[in-house]
Amino acid sequence: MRSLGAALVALGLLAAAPLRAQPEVDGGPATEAPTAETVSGRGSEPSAAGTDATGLDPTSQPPALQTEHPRPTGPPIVPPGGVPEVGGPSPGEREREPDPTPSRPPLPPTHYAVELQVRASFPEESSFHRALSDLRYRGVRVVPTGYVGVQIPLVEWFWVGGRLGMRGMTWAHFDLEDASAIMADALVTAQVRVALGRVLEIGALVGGGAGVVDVQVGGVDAAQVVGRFVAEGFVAFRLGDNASVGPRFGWGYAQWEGMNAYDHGLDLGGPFFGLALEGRE
Amino acid sequence: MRRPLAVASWLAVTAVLVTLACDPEDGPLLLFAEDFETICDGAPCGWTRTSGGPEQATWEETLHPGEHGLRLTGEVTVRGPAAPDSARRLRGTVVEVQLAHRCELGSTLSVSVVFEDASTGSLRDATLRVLSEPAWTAPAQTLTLPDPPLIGGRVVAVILTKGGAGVCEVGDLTVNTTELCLDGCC
Repeated sequence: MRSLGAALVALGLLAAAPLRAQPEVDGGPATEAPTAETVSGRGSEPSAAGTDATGLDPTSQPPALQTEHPRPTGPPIVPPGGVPEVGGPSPGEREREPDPTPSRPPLPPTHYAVELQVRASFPEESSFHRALSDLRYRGVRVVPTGYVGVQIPLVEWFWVGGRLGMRGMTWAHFDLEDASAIMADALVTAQVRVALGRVLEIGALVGGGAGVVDVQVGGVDAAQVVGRFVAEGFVAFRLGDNASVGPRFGWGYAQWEGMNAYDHGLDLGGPFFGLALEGRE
Repeated sequence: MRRPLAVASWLAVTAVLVTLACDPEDGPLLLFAEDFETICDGAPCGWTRTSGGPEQATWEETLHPGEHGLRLTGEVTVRGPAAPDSARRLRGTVVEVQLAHRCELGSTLSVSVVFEDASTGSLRDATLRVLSEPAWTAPAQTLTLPDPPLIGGRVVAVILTKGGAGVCEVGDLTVNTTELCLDGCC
């Protein structure tokens, strides 16, 4: 056991020896202050890479330890051939360098935006829909809708514009010609939108206008002008300076009330969900 | 563990396909259907008035200019045509009658369905009183024929009997079998 302990002590001493012999190179504790030769070597003998063994730029501010050795007042000691350029720019040049992480240029202002929107509305079952079902017409209460619109920002966060759209639904019949209801509408809109960073925008929109509903049953058309209203929320993800895409959701009023002698109504609005693509200029 | 999942997936897909491929309300179950849109000499083809005056049974627009039906006023009876030979035949005694209609308060409406037994040529009929209300409705009601069960019964006539003083409007009438289908479409 004693010989094992002695061997361990000897190994420990051998392992510690290189550490003790290694000179302090990082301006470490004052008790381990480098010699004058080491300090002068930093300033007068740059390595081939333009830095000394510490990795410091020879022209940069000296470490605090050099305060014990005042900087010479004469011309700087220059090795033959001058200071290698790879050593980096002078402090003055460094100040003129561009910021390595420059701020990105601001997004260009939007003068107008053109939007294309597709969505599906889910109206409540209306009395006319129910009556058609009684007559063996089968329809799914999902109303596909398409819009094209133009929006103009009055200020960065408040835009106004207009939309033109089409929507419709159909009812199939086992024996007879299918029935359909189609609406074309025009809306005036106002929206507020907020940019959350460079990519994300959120906003809300309200719009009002009018539409023409055409209901065809048995190959015969009946049409009516009706009022329109929409309340919409949206999220837009910018695809660059001139485009964005994102979901739209909300509720729309698109009803034809009192459409026959039985005071039936037809609803083509209701809650909706869709996707919009915006192009900006 | 994967095998039951695969089987369940196939069963689910099959169920969806069968559901999409079959319309249990139209087609396979229909014994008789009348939409009152095919006109012969100003009246729905095959329909005749058996009691009441001509102004008491008229063909008029209903809930849309392209949708029509019978308007029955006061006490009147009309008789409809037979189902085409190609129509499905009844096996059994129970059918389901669905009448799309509306009736003013104080009116009554009954439906009688007459079947011809394909094997004997005898006629069998049954009548039900329709559940009516002022708004358009289409209740499905069960009608049971007297025994014995029919084997290949065909609808040869449908009779609507209107009672009371008000008006009833009829837009569609179907007679369906309640027989379970074995072809996966019921």
